Amino acid sequence: MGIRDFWSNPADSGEQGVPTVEPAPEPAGVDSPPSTNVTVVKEATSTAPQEAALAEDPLVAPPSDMAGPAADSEGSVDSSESASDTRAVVNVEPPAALTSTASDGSGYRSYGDPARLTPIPRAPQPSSTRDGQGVPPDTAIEWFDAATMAVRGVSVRGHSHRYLGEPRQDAFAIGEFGGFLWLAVADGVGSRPHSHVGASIATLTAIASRELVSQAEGALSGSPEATDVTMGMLAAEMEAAARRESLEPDDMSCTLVVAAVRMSQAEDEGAQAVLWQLGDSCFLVDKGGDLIILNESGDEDALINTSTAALPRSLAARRWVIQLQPGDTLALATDGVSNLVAATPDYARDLSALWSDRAPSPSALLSVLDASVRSFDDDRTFVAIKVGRR
Amino acid sequence: MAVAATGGAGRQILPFYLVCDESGSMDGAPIQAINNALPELHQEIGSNPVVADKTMFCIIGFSDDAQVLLDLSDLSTVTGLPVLATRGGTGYGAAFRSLRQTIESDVKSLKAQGHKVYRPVVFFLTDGYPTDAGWESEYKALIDPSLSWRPNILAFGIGEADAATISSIATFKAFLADGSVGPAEALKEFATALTRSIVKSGTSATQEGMTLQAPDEVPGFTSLQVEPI
Repeated sequence: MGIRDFWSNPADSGEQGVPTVEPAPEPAGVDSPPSTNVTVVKEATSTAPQEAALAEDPLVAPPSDMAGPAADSEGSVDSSESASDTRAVVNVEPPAALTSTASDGSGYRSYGDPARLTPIPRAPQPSSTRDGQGVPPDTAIEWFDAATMAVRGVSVRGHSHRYLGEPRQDAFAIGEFGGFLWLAVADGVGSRPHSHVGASIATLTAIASRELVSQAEGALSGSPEATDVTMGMLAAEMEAAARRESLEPDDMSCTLVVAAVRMSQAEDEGAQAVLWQLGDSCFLVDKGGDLIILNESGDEDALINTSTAALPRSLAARRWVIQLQPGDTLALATDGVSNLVAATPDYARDLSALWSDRAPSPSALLSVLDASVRSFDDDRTFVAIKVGRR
Repeated sequence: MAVAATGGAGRQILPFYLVCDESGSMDGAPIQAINNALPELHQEIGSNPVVADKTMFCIIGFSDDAQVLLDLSDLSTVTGLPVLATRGGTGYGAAFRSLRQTIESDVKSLKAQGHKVYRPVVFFLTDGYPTDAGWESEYKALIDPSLSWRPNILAFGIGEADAATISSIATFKAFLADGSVGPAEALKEFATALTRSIVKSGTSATQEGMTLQAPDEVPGFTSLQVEPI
């Protein structure tokens, strides 16, 4: 897996032997009001006190030994580690106000404290990348209602990709093939320049794959428990496509989740779904309550794990079967959504509520999906099927 | 420690720690170069919305002891930057101990507020050989594999810093001033590398999370191999 990753350690095993927790100062700046623009000085103990005017010019540091009133504030100087030594502080101009448009009543939803990053792109997208690859549209929507199911698929470009003028690297595809309804979602690896191409190829191939059809038939007649399978033919398709486009296969790296849904013969018996998962995109299920992330690895003590398996280099996928009752919703999502759902209860609640009665309109789904949530600036893709009449 | 109300929303946060040598030999041009660079770093990071939304910055100065000069902060809300000041010897042990305690308490605090934390990044800058004995044990405690929050460390050496020591402290990248430019200029390049790393790491919205972006080369420095102690 040619992904340079310096953030996770395979030996991560969570926190052990946590030492005694001492009350610690809360990191300044997190959910606290900005410190007032006052220079704070502490009493000098190591040198003779001197009266000195503090320079107002932020670029000129006053001499290091200063004395003055020990004004106490929650400002940015912390002396918990030191004996009361002298520490001067220079005023700095707060950077230019970066209020996001999300908080100015433009109609964008937002959750949590306001993001500085605006959800609105700043420039039109180019029609192709520098290598001549096509650029997908900022937002993609597909949807339909059938007699016994409603399907909604939305994929939005992450707000940081919009800010930087980079393409959406998530992709999804929906189709009917071999007696199943197919849903596929792929998440292009961000550090790879053509991963949006890889994601597109992976999803389009997955929804029309004889290999997967025969796997699905086998899974439905066999045990529903999770089993490891390989996606060799998908990888081969991606590599063939890479050769056609004169690209490196690794530059098309992406995760992939696929669902093959077969409706029961009787209308009120719901459906069966065969699920494949390769990498950190995931499934969510809503059984008339909350959206639950399936197979979530819930190590609360761990830091954010940033490595993932990806096609075409990783071939191993987990495959299992679930039953869906009428009224249930099954969704495929990239981690831009699942991280957000896991971290933001209000967001999870609103996303789930869209599906409580019937499938939402695309615009209602887009409104929640594309909300402004500080620090969650990845592409977000959510493709769901609600089983049963409507 | 109170858990601040956030409306139920946790964030994804990337913490950066600057650990800066304040020993006597840094007096004059070197410490001034850092002090001049900090407001620029503040401006650049604070005004980039992608970065401002998810990175936090802490400054620790060390000499005979180590002091947290700036608590882990959202730089865009900081209006007072500490002034680094030179003092005595070069106590690596105090630096690593302070770093370990500070990171541990910061990560705990952030998690208690419902945030998710990326692996912390440390930029360690020194101009000399350590003057304290036994600092290796503090260092080992900091990078202990059983600590889920152990940081990635980039080490920079100028002046009398020892190449082998710099190599052994770094876990990710190591740089030694090559003497082609004076210390003030080299430190300017260091500050630029630090700023760029923060900005690029924060904006590399890779689908697998944030990738630590650090230069392969820094003008005025030689890249060293990272060697464990």
